[in-house]
Amino acid sequence: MLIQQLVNGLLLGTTFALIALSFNLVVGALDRLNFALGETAMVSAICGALLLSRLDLPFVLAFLAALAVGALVAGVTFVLSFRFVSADYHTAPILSSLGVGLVLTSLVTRVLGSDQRRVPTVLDDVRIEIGPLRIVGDQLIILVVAALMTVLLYVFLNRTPWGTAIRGVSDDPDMSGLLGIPVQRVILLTFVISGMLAGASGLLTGLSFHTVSPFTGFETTLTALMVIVLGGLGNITGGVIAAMMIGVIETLTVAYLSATYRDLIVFVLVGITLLARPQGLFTRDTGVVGRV
Amino acid sequence: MRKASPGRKAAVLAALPLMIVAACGGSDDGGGGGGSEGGDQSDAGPYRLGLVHSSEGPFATNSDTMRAGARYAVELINADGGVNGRDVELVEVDARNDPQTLVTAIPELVSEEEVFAIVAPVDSAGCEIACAIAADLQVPIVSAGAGRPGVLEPSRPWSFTMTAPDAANSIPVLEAVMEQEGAQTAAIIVDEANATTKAQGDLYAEVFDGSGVEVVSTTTYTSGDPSFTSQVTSMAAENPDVIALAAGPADAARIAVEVRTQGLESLLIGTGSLQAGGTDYINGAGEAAEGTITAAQFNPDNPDDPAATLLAQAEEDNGLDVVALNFSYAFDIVNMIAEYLTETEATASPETIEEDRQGLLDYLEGVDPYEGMSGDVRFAEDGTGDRPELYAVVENGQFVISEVGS
Repeated sequence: MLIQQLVNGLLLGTTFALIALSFNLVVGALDRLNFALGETAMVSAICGALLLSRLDLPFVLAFLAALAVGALVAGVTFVLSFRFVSADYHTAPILSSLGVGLVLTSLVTRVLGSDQRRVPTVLDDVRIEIGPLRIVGDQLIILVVAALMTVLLYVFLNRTPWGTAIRGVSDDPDMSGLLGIPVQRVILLTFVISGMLAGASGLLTGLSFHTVSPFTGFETTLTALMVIVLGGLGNITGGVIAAMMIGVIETLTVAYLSATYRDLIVFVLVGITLLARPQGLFTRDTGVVGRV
Repeated sequence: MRKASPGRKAAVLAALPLMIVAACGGSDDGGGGGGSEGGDQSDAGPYRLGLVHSSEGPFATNSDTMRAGARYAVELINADGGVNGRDVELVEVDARNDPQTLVTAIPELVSEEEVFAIVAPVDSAGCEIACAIAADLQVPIVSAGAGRPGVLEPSRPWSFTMTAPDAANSIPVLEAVMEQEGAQTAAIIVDEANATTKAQGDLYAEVFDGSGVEVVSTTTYTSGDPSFTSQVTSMAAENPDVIALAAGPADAARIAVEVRTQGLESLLIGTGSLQAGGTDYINGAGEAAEGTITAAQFNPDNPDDPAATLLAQAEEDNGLDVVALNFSYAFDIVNMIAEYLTETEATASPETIEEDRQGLLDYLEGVDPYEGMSGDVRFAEDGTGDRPELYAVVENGQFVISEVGS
């Protein structure tokens, strides 16, 4: 059972990794956290779930729709909470994006109700068994899609002109601007990509949990914050490793201790990390407080 | 606003013969209040009833259903001329599953909104707090769902619940089901963050102990936990004959889906609470809910009148496939209060409200039985509803009710 639980934990971690990647992209571009990304994931997931369950659309189309919704919501959040806010007011984007998140939750509950939405199983009959290890069809989808998106993001950032521009703006926006890079458009693009990642994370998480709820937005944000504190703010590789760690820790805690200790153990770990290595476990850069 | 159809009027008449009494009452209170003079009190403003629901927490859907039932009752009563010539008005409070909100909301309902009586939270945890505060203020309060043993103890005699306690109803029913199914081993999954579901976990332990079923796995989660993969993997390792769900209906639905996704064929069982939130469970779990067995105390297909007429009318008016337990219980609570107000022509004015509340208390304790949408109900000495022992099986997306031993 231990091996199975480890795999369960790693799969849970892959969904955390996507949302953490999403946060880290924005931090890279602006040195700011977009606190509405959890709600962006929720809205995208609910749209995807509705397309799957109500319109019986194929998963691929619902997934693409979730990406589009995520991109749109993140773009709007950028305009509302970041674009016109002076860099002198560090807390303004935090509070503003938190507000956008609250508005998104309220809108969804008002328009669609507060019920959880069922995410139908996509590959019902697929079940791979290797010795004691069993992976069901939906877990396979999560694994493949999350890995694919991570690779695509890596290729985009490292092999395309726009990706290079994003990295340039992330390193030094002033110098990038002097070199003719349209900084604001690049930042908007970064938000759009982070929204797509959040949308993907939302729907894949829904697939894993079988439902999506309009009230999970802030919880998702909190989980992502834990991941990026452990992995190091802006550190993409560290974020992925930390996400896997948290997924495994949470799963093993529930399996062998008690569900009530699940968050406690992660919070204690994060607290110790903040005290001992505020820059995160996998980076030598400045700490969280210094960056944001 | 919907018009009252002839069928709906028939439904009202079936539940409320009191309307005739109201129509015949000719005395004029002269706008002076004072005493339960009644008759046409149309100048006195509406009768105000408090209703405490919760849009969050594991029983949010039950709460929504309860609210819909109470609103429907008020709608029918008002469409038919109200009570003593006065409309009935619900003053609703959303407690959001937060005890602190209850602590401030109940006194506010009583002192600011001047409600006559209160429809209590549908969940036991919320009911326990709300009922205790209402009892301190000497306001009658009735829940449409609280079923945890002892939930009313701190608040008697002012509190009532339409529900038979989970233990009294579910233990004998589930023991009979265990025998019927020939179960040998069982797993229990418990929501540790909710007093009601923790009590359900103890209830299952008692059921399995009493029926000689070995508990091979007990796993926990907390309300709102996102994933059940880990818990179900632990249970799957023991391959139990039965998995007992000590969970709110929405969480239970997700557990059921995870159980079937992992290929487990164990029988899923629940207490009466699961049937109470049945729509949420079945909608959430879909095909994974098929075959689930729960204890039950309410028959949505009750063939006996007036329940049959009222149920059919409620389905038609509200576009429901099936009337849920909390809907019918809340409907009956409002109608019982309306019946008392009509029979006694109570004014519930500031001068008489204490006396009228005491009168309602006496009326509820003396109900023998009240015949409503949920069937026949009377209250036991501890304020809990006296209900039949039934069980329900999910078949083709619906709970099919049977009597134990049938």
